[in-house]
Amino acid sequence: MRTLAQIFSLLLIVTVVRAECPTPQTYYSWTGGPNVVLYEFPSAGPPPTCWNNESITALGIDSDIHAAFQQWTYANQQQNTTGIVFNFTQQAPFRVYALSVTDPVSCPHSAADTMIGLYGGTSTVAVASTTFYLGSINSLGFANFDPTADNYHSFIQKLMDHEIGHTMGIFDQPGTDGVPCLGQTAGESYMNAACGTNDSANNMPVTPMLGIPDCDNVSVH
Amino acid sequence: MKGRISIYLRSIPLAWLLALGVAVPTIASFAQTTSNLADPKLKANASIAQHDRPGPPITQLLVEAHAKAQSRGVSWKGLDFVVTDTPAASPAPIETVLLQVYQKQACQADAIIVGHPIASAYHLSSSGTSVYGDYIVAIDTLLKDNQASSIRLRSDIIVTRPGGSLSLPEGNVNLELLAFPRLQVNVTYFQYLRYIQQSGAYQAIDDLSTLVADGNRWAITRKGFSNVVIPGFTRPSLEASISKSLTSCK
Repeated sequence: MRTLAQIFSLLLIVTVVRAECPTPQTYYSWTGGPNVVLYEFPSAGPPPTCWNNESITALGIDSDIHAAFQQWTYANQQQNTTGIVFNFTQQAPFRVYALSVTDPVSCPHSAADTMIGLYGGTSTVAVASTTFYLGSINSLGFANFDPTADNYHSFIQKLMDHEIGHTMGIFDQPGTDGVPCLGQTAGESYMNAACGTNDSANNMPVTPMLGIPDCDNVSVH
Repeated sequence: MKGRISIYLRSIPLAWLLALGVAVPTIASFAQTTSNLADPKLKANASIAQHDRPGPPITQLLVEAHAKAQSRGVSWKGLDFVVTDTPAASPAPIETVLLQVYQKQACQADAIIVGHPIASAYHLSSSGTSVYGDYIVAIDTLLKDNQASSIRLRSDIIVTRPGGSLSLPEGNVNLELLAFPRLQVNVTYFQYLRYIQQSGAYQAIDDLSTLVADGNRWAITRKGFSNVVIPGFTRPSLEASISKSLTSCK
């Protein structure tokens, strides 16, 4: 009887650990700073080692990125209580870069990442920079992007949604083994992994959508 | 003579013997260390692609943030950076994919070791946009030797890795990457490594190349993958299977 109870407790713990909704949280976010967060598309800076700096506007992905910021602004006004508004300008604390990878072996393997700078010893985000690594091949061995496919622009928007989410206090959905797409519930959260080139499995919520999924709204702070 | 030694040993207090017992291995472990974190050649690690990031130098970000800190009522202590990313998943079961990934890594690696870090030093990357660490890693088991520069007779190597902490004139900076968690001193890691000829150091092939001892299993250090159980990635089964993996490299 006691053993059965222990097994039941274990199953309960496993279920809780693997729960995906609400989305896991981080300790930091923009909250604590101004309610309006400015973002920009500056040049990527010093000469790179294994990539070329690209212009987001010239690449034609600027509208996808703006759309993601608008989604979050809508969600923050209508769907959650953070009230954070994202506005496009210059000299902004939230920078967005696009790079084309010239050496997929040595260069970063992520589709995109975000470097979030917190005021030391606080949970308040001071600066952030998101980078798209176009032409990158991920560690699982397949191309992150296919710019010729119909879902390319949708994927750029999803990635930006995911990366903004990291600055809004939410974390990657946990992965489990034995099942496709890390066992995550497809479409449930922007913090899901990108499954297949251009997230071909639509593991992340399909764009365009109004705001962000409930599981993410519950956790942002 | 034998009797004289016996008398001599009996005259030494037990505490001294215990102290000697502790001291000898400590001295021995220092004596075996061949890597030097102050080696000027290691400066080449500042320029490798894995340590580069786009954007303004960290010192500029510190200055910008410091200027705004006061207006936000923040007591200035520097910046703590966290680098997050969008993980990749596969439509195929992850274990199947990872087994192929690690077979490939075994072939691509210049060296494969099981080892534990014993010391580290952090630096700014050459672009000034990132922080990285050089670690002296003691080799517990060498599973694949570097054909270009053998490490068979070495007790340790330098492994360089993104992330670290620095105290700069503009403020303190900490950099943590979810894809490359910092190596912890005296924790045992399984590493697929690439040789950096300019510095003589090694780097992880990618974010999946470092596994940490977790009980009797090897867990991927990269955040988001640490719970994924890979068949055969147990201790010491993985170590034993590497030679078989290497025979199937083309």
